[in-house]
Amino acid sequence: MPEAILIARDIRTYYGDSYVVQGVDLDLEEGQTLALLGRNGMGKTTLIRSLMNLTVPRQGEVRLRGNLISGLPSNRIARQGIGLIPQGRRIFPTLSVQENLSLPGSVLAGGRDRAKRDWTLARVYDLFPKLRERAGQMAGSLSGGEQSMLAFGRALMSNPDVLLMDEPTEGLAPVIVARIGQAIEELKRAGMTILLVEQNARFAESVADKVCIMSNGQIVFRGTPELLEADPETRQKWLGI
Amino acid sequence: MTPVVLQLLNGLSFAALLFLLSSGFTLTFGLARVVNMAHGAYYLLGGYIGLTVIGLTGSFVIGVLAGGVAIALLNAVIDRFLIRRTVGQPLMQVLLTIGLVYVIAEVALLIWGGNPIRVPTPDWARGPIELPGGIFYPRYRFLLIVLGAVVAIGLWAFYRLTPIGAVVRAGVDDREMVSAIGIDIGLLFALVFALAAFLAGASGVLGGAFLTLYPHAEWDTLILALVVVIVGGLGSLEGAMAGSLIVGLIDAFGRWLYPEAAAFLMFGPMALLLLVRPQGLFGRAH
Repeated sequence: MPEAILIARDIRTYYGDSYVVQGVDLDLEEGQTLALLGRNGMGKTTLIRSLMNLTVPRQGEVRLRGNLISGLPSNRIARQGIGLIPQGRRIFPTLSVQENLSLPGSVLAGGRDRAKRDWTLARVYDLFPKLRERAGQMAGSLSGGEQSMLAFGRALMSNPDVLLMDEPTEGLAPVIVARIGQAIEELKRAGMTILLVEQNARFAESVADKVCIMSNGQIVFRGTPELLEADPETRQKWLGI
Repeated sequence: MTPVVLQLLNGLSFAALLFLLSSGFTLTFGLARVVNMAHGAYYLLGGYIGLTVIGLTGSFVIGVLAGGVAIALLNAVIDRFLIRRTVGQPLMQVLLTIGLVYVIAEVALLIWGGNPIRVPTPDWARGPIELPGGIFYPRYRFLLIVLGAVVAIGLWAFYRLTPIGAVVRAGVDDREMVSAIGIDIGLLFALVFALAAFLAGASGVLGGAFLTLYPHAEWDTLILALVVVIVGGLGSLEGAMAGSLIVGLIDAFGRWLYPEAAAFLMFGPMALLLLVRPQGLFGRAH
């Protein structure tokens, strides 16, 4: 078995007194897409935030290519090669589309630190031609689907080795969901490693290589999408579908 | 006609000073959510330091720069050892920085005494200047209008047109996401804090040359800066421009036309504006 690029061990995270992530282990192999499913409020977003130290876990260890990254400030974790498409997209609404995409390359982001320069403005625009048309427009005036694409492109512009996606299809029309699915497929072909948090199980199963289900802060199922699809009992019990 | 023009120029030159004072104040709040109540004390202390440096060097320009740099350094220490400890606790922050106002003002009183002192203007800025239409106006205050306009345009261009300016605007929008895309938000805060403190200190020297430096100026100045940013909208550079112009012009024309109601004319419209638009003219609702 190849060594995993991202390894998380025994992540435990609290919000005040509430124990949200209760000892989670994750292994992401290079080039793999792992979908993390589960109902609302089961700790998926908190887990993603814990990996980037946006919410500080009380315990646990995260390694990227063997290097310990847990405990580092979020900006340094990002520079080590983790990109985030956050829940709710969180593009910078008062900046233009092009400014949003240019920020990760800013000198303040240590734009020259990383040798890897795979992603350029032109390549992001080729992936999402809609963004090229809107380049000068304020990001806050984009449609929900365009904002998703922008959040996607912004994450790519930091040239990540691992992409964390927190419900990239939330609230989007089916045609846009399909477009996001295509983009994920293209990234997979380019060898990107992806951790995808989703409510939309069918979408996640269609793009993922492996699936985990989270419930009450713990991983309760690990397997392939095929295994999950063939297991109506598990789907019913943990996903309610 | 002439008195109207003179009051207009008075309003504009006061607005220029207010903008220099409050532009950094509003950006600090927008970016770091830090309301630094010591901003007025920075103004006063910067003015006194500039005064002393002018006495030593004979150069007004060096005095202005020294006032700014000294306050930027002082603020770096205060930020590193005090303000950092109150992140996310607004009430603590307000109490801390109000405490600093007393400390700084008391130290200034010990060193520079309690009498109002006017910062000496340089020869090249003394006397009147003749404007088109045969209007004579104090040269110093006219130059202040020019300086205010130049700094306003420069800051605006930096904020709106440069990559670092875009990072600052992004930080005002969503600090956490700025970190999550790899940007060192602490470094960004330090840059903006330094700029804000520099401008406060430098404007103390500039303002001291026509408003004089006196005990209690730390509060008068703080209140004016607060009115400017509340009217303009916290965190907005354009708001600081608009707020400065409004407050500067109301002050000038209020004193001239209704001197007995000047204070009401300043705070009355602010209260009304807050009723209609609590986020200020250019602020965004949170």
